[in-house]
Amino acid sequence: MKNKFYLGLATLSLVVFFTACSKLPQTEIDRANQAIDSAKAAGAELYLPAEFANLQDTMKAAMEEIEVQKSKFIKNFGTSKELLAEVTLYASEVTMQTEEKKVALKTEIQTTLNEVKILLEENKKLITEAPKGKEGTSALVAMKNEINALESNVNEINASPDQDNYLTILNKVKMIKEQAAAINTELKDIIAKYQSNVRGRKS
Amino acid sequence: MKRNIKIRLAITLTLTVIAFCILFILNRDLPPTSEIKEARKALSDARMCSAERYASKLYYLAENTYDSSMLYWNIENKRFWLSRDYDKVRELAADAKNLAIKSKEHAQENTVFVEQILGQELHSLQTRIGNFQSYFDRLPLSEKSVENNQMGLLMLKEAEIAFSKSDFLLANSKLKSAQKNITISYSDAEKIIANYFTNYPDWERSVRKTIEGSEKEKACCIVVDKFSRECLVYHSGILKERFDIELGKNWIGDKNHQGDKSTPEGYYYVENKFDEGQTRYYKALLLNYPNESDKKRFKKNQKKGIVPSGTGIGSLIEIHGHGGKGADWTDGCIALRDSDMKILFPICPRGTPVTIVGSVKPLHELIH
Repeated sequence: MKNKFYLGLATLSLVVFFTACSKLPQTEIDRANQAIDSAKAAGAELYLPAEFANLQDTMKAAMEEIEVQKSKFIKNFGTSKELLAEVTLYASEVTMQTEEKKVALKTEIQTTLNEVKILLEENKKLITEAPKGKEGTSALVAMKNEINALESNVNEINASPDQDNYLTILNKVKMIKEQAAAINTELKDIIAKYQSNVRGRKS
Repeated sequence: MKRNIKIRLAITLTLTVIAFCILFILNRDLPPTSEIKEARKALSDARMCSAERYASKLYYLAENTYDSSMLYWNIENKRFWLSRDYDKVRELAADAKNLAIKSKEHAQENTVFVEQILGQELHSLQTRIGNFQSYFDRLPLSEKSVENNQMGLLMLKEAEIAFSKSDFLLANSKLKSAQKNITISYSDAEKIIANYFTNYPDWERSVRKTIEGSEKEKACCIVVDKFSRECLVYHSGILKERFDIELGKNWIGDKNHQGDKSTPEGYYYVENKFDEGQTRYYKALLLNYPNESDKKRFKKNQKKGIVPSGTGIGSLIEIHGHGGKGADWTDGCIALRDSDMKILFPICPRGTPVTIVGSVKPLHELIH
């Protein structure tokens, strides 16, 4: 009787020993997946593509480690849990960085848009100051059209700022600024030339 | 007896542990860990080369194959450990790896190809703009054409930026929009120019006749090339000076009536000269516009109803100073820089022939 007890105890010990670390870290997997989904929803794929790819790679590595352990007779998900925790933490960092990048892009877009608006306003004012009548009106029509085209682009962006991704919008705004600045220089040149001619006439 | 049992138990336990250890060691290398890792590494490398974009079919096939291998691994792991077979997993992992490597190679090839093609297309559009935009800017065009042109130029800049950042797909889509807008606006302009240049044979004859006259008379003559914005001064049939000019906004075509902001075309001569203080425009050479041919044409146009009622033929067409504004701003006069006017004024006496033409060169020599 006593022998049977010892044998049972020994078997139980072995079973406990072999199954002690074998529980699949499902909670950690779900948490990591959720964190990755949040990063994706924030736009990490678009705004931080390298970081997001790295994140996906780390998750794949963690899942591989889980399968490695599942393949073993004695399972130990310790490393898998560590990897999953790493993924979760990294995913939250990527989400945060994505949000920060979006805010930075939005700010840059807004700042550039403000600069563009100032330039366009200045251009409109310069057009009124530019040589009028015979000397001015006809020459400035093309520039006015150009300014109008740029302004309609700015209005389009203002009307639906989240329609496109912020990187595309920023590029567009930068282009508009460049063109508005070119018109500004051109107008200032025309006015300067005209004024120097007027001064020449007076002298 | 008791002792025997204890010994047996100890031996059984020891044998069990040894057996498990042996099985564990045997089992250790069974899962396709390295193959899966290699497939993942190959996928990562492919992604680094933008295979997702430039060899998307192959890349996603590789990724799906990798996912399948993981799925099969998972299925095998659920089976009893002695009956597990990882061959299928290994096979899929190897396929995933090969596909990923192929997608990387294709992406690299495609990137070079797309970069080359896109680079050429960008260059081609830039060249087209470089050759034509200055003419386009001078043409009296509809607001819609100008708007299309502006949009096209804006899109081109976006395409250039995307190209410089190696974002070829975005660059391509922007370039296509730019090409569309530019083509629409330029085709309007090209129609106007092509129509205008049907008069070239007449212009060529007029210019030849004027220069021959200068050679014969050993005198000065002026040829105004409206399209190239140049005032050419000949003496004894030899080109002596070349000045930049500015015209009226509606410079294409002949002058029809007062206030149409057109510069007349045809044979004229310097009727009068106004020095500093006698004109608002530094110095001026007054032309004999309207000449007999202009008057005849005006009457014809009046009959046709082309000329608005109550509008005269116009007058006071001059070659004068205050040019150099970089735009067409006159009411139909020809404006030169004051420094150029200073040179031209003394060498052109009253009676100097002034021939105004659309162009001294044929269209194919101007726009390629």
